[in-house]
Amino acid sequence: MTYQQRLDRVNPGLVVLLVDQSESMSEPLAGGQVTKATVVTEHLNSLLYELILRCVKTPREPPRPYIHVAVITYCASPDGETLIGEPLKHLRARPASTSAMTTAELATSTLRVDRRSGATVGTSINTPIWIEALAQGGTPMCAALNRAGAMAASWVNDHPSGFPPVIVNLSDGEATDGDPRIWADRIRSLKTNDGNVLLFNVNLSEQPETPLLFPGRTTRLPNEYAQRLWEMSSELPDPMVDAAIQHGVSVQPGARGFAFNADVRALATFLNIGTQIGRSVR
Amino acid sequence: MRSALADASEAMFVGGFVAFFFAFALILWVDACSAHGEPRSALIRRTGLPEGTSVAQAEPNDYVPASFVVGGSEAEATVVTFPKEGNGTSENEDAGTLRAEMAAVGDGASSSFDSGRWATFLCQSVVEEWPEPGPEAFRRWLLECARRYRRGGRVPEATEVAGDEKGIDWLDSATEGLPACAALVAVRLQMSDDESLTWQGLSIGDSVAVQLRFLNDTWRMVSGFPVERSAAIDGTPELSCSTASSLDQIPSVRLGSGPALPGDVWLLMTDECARWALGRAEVGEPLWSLLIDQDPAEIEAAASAARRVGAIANDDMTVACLRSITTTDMEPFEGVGGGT
Repeated sequence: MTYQQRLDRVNPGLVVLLVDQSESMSEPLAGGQVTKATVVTEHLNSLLYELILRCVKTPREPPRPYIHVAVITYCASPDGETLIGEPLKHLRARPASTSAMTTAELATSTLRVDRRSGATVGTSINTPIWIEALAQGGTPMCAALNRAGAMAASWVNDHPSGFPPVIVNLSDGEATDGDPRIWADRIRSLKTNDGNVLLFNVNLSEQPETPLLFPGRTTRLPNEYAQRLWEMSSELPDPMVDAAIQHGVSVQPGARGFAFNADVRALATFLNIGTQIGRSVR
Repeated sequence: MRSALADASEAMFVGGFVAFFFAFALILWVDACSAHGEPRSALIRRTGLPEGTSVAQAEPNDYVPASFVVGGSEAEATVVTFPKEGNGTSENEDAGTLRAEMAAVGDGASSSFDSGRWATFLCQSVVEEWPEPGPEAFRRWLLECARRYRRGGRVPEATEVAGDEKGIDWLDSATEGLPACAALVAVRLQMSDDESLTWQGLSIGDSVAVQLRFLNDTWRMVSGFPVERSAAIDGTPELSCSTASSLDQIPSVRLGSGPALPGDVWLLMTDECARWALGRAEVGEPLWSLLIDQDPAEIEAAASAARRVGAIANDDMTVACLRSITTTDMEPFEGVGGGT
């Protein structure tokens, strides 16, 4: 049985988020008014928020350090130089040997906290921000996957019995430094005793197609970039399929960790941090 | 003949000595644990209350020791609980409450918020006010518990978050209203109309109570409530949540009852402990004696070994032991068949 290991202090998990900040991300998402860069940043900040909430157990203590999170941004300078960033590093109060932050550190290391309108008129909610939108230059996705792969390789070496790292790549899919499938294969071949490293992709497209979450085939994907990212994605392991179904997400046979113009905050709830609660009571 | 005053004075002296002895013993135990780092397990043994005294008079609390008389059968209860590996005792989201002729254990779901406090609330509530008979009455009781819990609000027990930590304020509003969810199993002993001993059980979620009887020099399982096989503990239980505001938000519950004999023992276990114990019994390597003995160090050591080899998940674990004790007024159970 794989992908069974619970995340806790003894066996923490690693989540690496790759964020495409290339020029093409300045195009509007799905023919709308908002740029892909803005949406991808919102998805990213939302996912970080959800990961932290998953680790908050009581109002009397900070979030528990059950998940280590790293963010890798990728774009290129005007003269074509590859730029791989790790923005969470700049939020640290003190230098550290690793660029990954625990959920406990992340909660207290926001860039800022915005006040936004709540669902009810007259209410507002605190919205923590860790990453800002940016769009410039090319898309060195292979270099970014290489950096993420190095992190994952180091992690599985240090945590051979732990839940395998989860890498989430948020991009429009137009890699400019080679074929990212080669790097994706290498990442997915890394493993712990609990399973292979999981690579998920979120494709943000300017094409106004129906959003898709965890499709089992490529037939409804509108272009080669989306299809390529789907191919690069890991198949959802059984415990995650079960969790998705528990959360009311329709999952096709052969579903992969891929989303097309869709929000992937649900991913945070797929991580095993103790007892999953039956559907009827949530 | 001794005067009533002398008797009362002696009783007070003895009672005071007993209280002092147990307080002192508790201090020694805590010190012994502290000498080896943070104490992880909690064990409360029988208090040694004067014979015939019912602890129904005692204030309900977590791990209140219990010694009581049910008809002609004396009973006692103890509980052992310890957190998942790597966590401190304050992070244990399990709960156990013992009072009078009953015991309850609760298992706060780690995937929900502040679940340990909700589990404790449920355990304390069930021993204070056992629900009226019937599943619908139990569901209404759970709904009322959720309402009372919400009215009580969150009472911070300790301020562990530094006030100057940047951005932490956003968490307070983010967690407002999040549900706390927990499993609960409770057992109480009663004398039936024909003066035979019976047990009654309440359950929601995946905590389990097992009735055991000592036959032919070994402990044998008589019944399991609400399940008897380890495979039935599936890991996605329907739990009682603190946010429930109507009956349709209370999932299905289970009630059980059955005959009992003096000397029978009930082990009330949270899910991972139950999965472990039932699984070992299924392969002919039962843990019943280990769990009934209630030695926290031995139980935790065995659980740690099982965790290391992946036999059980790293989870908070709790096992309460409720015993009906044979007295001279009742037929002993030795020689009585019928165990499974």
